[in-house]
Amino acid sequence: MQIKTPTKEYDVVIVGSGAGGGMSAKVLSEQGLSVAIVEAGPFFDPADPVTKTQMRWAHESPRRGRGTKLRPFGDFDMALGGWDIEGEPYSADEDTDGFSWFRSRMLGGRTNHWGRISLRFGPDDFRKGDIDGLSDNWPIGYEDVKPYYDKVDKLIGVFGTNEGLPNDPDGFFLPPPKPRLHELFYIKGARAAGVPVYPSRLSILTKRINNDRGVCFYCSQCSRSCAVYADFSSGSCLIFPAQKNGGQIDLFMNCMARSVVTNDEGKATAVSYINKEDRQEYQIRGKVIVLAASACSTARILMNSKSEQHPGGLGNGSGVLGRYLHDSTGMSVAGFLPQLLDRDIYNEDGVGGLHVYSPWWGDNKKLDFARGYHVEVWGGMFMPGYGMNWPIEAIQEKLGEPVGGYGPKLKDEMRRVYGAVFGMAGRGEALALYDNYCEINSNEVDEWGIPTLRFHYNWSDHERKQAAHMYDTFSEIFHKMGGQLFTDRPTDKNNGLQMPGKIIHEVGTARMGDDPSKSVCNSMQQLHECSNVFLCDASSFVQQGDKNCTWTILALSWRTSDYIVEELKKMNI
Amino acid sequence: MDRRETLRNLLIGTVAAGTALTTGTACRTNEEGPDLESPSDKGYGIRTPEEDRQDFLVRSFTFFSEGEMAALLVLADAICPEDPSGPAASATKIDEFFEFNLKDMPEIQAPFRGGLAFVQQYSRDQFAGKTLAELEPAELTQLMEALSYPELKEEAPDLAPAIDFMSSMRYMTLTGYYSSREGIKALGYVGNSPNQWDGVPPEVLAKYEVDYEPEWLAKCIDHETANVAAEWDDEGNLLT
Repeated sequence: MQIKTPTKEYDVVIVGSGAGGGMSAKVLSEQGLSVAIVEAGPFFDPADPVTKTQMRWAHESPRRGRGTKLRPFGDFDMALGGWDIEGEPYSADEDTDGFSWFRSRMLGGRTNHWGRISLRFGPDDFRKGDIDGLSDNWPIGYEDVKPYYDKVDKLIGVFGTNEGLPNDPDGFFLPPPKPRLHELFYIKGARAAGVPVYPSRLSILTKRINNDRGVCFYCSQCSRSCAVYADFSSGSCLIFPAQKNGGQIDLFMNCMARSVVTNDEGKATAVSYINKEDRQEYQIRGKVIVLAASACSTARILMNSKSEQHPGGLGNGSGVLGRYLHDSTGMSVAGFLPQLLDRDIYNEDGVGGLHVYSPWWGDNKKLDFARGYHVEVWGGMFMPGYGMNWPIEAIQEKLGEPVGGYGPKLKDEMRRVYGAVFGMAGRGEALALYDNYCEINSNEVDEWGIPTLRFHYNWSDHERKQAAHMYDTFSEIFHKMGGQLFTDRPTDKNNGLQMPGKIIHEVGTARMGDDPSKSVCNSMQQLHECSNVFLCDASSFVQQGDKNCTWTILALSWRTSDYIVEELKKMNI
Repeated sequence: MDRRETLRNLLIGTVAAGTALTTGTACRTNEEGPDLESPSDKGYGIRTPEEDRQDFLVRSFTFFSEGEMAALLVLADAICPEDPSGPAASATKIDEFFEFNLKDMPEIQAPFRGGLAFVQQYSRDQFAGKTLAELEPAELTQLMEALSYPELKEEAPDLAPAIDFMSSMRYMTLTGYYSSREGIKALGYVGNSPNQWDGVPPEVLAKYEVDYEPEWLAKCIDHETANVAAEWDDEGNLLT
């Protein structure tokens, strides 16, 4: 096909089509602005029957759904990309804890497969500087973001319950689904261990919110992106509805953003990108540039946007660009519940994820680590796929049966243990530290000729001790549930913490602040040094909470997009 | 969309509301619609060009010889024989599963193939030159007893390669069997179909002596109201 050079100047050019980019495109286009989205991957609509993976059986894949380097979470997972993308390398400094960087190249980005756990931050999450002084306060508070959290709840839909918890605020929730059987056991066991349990908060429609989107039909496959739009994915819930409402959004697909182009006054004029079809560089002009490419990609684009006016990269006068990178902590255990051997079989697929969870309950002033975590649970009668037999030998061992075997007895054992496995995972808050960062590796370019990132990240004692607390807590709960744990107490130096990046909640590389010498953008996510460039992803986060980042990305993107509209009206940018 | 429409769309598919994209741009949009001739339409959803290339490569040559595959099927049927729950492994296309997946995982090819050869030699040594495919049922049982339990490696360290191979073979057979159409049925999984999850069946709750707390239950979705659009008061109380 013929590739034409874009000639039009858009009101806004947005890089990235995930949660932040999708929200910004929706808000700006519905205000009548012309919007271009530059996305590094192909078009994707979960409703397309040819490309959808939802409702496909394991045996429809020759791998029976097994994960590969090209599709790490399995053949049906709706993230095109992964930890290692051919031709797009990155590196980590030796003698650090390393970094794993997950990228999904497609319309909607990682929102097509994410866990839909949609937790707004609480008041304390914005003022950790006051509470323990180990990281800085945000320049904004919960009261600034609350109206946008509320609007996001109503626009996108999230089930949950108002519990009046001080740091896990109430919202506008749809009713949650009833707990599954193993979740009822968890409720009992966790409470006996002093850990409270509440209905989970997931952006899945248990109830209708409008006529464009369907209601959940409980197939448990949100990671494949929902064909009836009953889960939150950026394409199906933000970009398509905005287009349907008349919003002018042009999609530049398979276009890999390289840098922001600035003029002699240092103002941004365009985004430079490589079209993957012909491998040529193009520029697309915009009055305003919104970067929503994900925390590390946005930092990379800014660092690669060097000019006479911005010699250290765009917005990097402070030198903190790339710094304060932090991911959620992750530590998990698995075991089995003997009471569920030989269980009655029924359809308990439920929604795509947990029906109950435990928000952080502890008081860090009385503990030897600074920040909290929440508990996620899983288990039950999944659709069998590749690897479904993994627990059989561990269970044989725990039951004192001969490990291994064959024939009718082994088949009986397989039926007996099906649905008896249970697991818990902690997702916690890591400190935002100056010494954890990504930077440009000037010795390496990707296949598009763009200099790559090198990571430098080490967990601190606070995260290590938090992980030890997770293991103690999980093993106590398992015991109270009558279960038997497969996971031994981790003995590695990081107490079983997963490698930084593995939880895919990376944030903080271009943090906001009132002081331009210590931050990259202001509290409206506007670059201190370039007033027509805005950041609408988690790069602007000062400090992640013991939550997931997506709901805050959405709320802040909406808030910033409203501000862009106002500033354009006032002719300030 | 209402529930009926939801289910219809699931059956026949629909293309998004927002497909009328117009761009005068340098990039491909979906205006042309999905390319039905593309390898993406292979029956398991969207594939990237790299994935298509890998699948093409894997399907472009044969890995296991006829003799190797015959031996694998003998072992697979010994691990998962026909029983009241379902057919033997060889009746579930497990040969295709072995062939594709061993080619797709080059890192396990050599130990797997070598382990199989070691077991074949063991069979010939123990049973008067007979290969796996030639064994009498009693002989096969004897072989399975000797090789199917990892703890036997302590007594017979020389058999470690055979016992380790049988562990891999057991893993691959169980995974291939229970992810097949017949295996899923044998296990009893009844999901992957549209439904309205309404909690654990009462008889199951009774069996385990657990129950839903009334306060918790009161917060949960009543499917009778699921299709009524949500409205809230200013405090976040759901009104509908």
